[in-house]
Amino acid sequence: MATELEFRAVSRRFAAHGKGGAVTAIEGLSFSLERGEFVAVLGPSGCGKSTLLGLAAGLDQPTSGLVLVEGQKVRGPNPRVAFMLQKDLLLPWRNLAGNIAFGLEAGDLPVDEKQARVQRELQRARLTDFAQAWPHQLSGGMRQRAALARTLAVDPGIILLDEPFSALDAQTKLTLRRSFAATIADAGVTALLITHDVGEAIAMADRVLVMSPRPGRIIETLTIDLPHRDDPLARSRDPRFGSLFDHLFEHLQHDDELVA
Amino acid sequence: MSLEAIEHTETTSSSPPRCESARLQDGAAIIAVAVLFVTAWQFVPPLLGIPRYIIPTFSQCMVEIPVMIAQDALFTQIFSSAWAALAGFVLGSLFGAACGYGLGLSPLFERVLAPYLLALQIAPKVAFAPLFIMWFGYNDLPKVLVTALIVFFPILVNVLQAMKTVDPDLVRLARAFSMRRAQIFWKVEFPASMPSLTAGLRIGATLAVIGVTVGELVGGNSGLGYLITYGEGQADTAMVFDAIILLTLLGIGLYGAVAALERRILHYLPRIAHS
Ligand SMILES: Nc1ncnc2c1ncn2[C@@H]1O[C@H](COP(=O)(O)OP(=O)(O)O)[C@@H](O)[C@H]1O
Ligand SMILES: [Mg+2]
Repeated sequence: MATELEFRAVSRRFAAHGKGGAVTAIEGLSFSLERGEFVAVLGPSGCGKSTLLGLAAGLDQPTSGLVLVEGQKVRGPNPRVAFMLQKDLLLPWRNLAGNIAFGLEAGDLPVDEKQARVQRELQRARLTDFAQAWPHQLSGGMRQRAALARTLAVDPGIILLDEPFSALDAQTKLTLRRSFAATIADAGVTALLITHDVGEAIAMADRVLVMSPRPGRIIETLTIDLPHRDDPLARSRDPRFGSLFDHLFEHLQHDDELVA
Repeated sequence: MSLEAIEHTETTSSSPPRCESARLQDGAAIIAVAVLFVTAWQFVPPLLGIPRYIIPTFSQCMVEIPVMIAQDALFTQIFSSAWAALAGFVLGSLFGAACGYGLGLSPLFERVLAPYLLALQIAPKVAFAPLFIMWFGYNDLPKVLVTALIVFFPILVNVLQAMKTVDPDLVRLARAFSMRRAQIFWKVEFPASMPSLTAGLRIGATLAVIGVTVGELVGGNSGLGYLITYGEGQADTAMVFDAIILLTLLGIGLYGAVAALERRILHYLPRIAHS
């Protein structure tokens, strides 16, 4: 299998700002994602998860170490990598189709190819009927589906998801996880999901990386050997789910005690 | 002060949609207040023995209008003020917006120029009117320039503020999609600034009339502001009243036009779409 994304001993320090001293967000972080893999990164808040996402997206450079996408050093934003956040970041002045086309406008695809991509993603997100709707007319879950559609429209090799479900209510979270799992399986992209929800990580990922509190390092890797990666609800009913949960929860518990 | 007033009217006009009958009731009440006011204006000053050169009655003001049309070329004066207000407003808005976006795009310039901008903003702009007359003479240019100068700042400040408060995550998203600086400006920052820009334009519309009035008061030989000084010289209080009323109507017209433009530009905002 080909390695899609790799972090090699990556550290990121932020220079002192005002009163606060220099902050080491992540230190000596190493991991890799194989093509088509779905990996969840689990860690307490402030451990450098979003920093990691910025490095992978090429928006930020490591202080030391190497970030590689498809074997190439990341020097800046890269059309192979796309991300979405907890905030949907839909542009309120564009309708849904316009929002999904947003990422395509940087490149020089022919117009009909852009339109075809938008149609494809509208269909995959089951939002075709809402192509002309304004973002404010949609529910939170639909808005996140639209944000994922915008992410996938650029045909990335890797998508980075920074806590995409954490602003939603419990019910919407469950449906949206299922929708995302099916969509991502269908698109066949490599996915890196950042979360602090243990159940979510197990329900959705092939592999879970646990990060320590700041400075963030990988302290545990757990392969989730459950079927139904495209159906988190079915997975969470699996009898082995509980023991995996306990195992990961232990590690996170341990971290909280360290922080306290 | 004017800002507060504008904010206030805005909140009332955008309150949750109410049923048709309530709206009719409001309309009836508003008209009733107007009738009451005009009646009081007509009958109370004479009852109190106030002479017409202090407070002319409503009918005296209305009778004065055909006289002004015949003797003082009222339509030409209205046109002169309206033209100057519009020209000054457009000029000030264009420069204000251009400077706001320019400073928003270059934080270095913004930091260096911020104290000077603040000083200029505090300086009483109307005080520049005599200076402009000394420079450019007794024509329309000084009043257009005073108007532009007054309109300039609120628009600059609003646009600059909007540029500084664009969601940084939105800019990161655009950067992650490999957008160039110019693309980020036109696709994200510029449209995101629209609500602030139109709010600035609304403030500018009310200030434009002040600029024109001051320009005409100080050294005009045309316009409604000139009629105010002329009427003052003639002790023709009704003419002063009429000129003030017409200037107010001019301001309302300009404000209404800007508000209509705003509704078109911001059609995507739920607040405005539903009202
Ligand atoms: N641009 C920055 N400048 C200074 N400190 C930063 C910056 N970005 C993140 N940090 C710090 O790095 C740490 C990790 O942040 P982040 O990656 O956002 O954590 P997480 O997403 O896991 O909650 C935090 O302590 C944060 O304060
Ligand atoms: Mg974060």
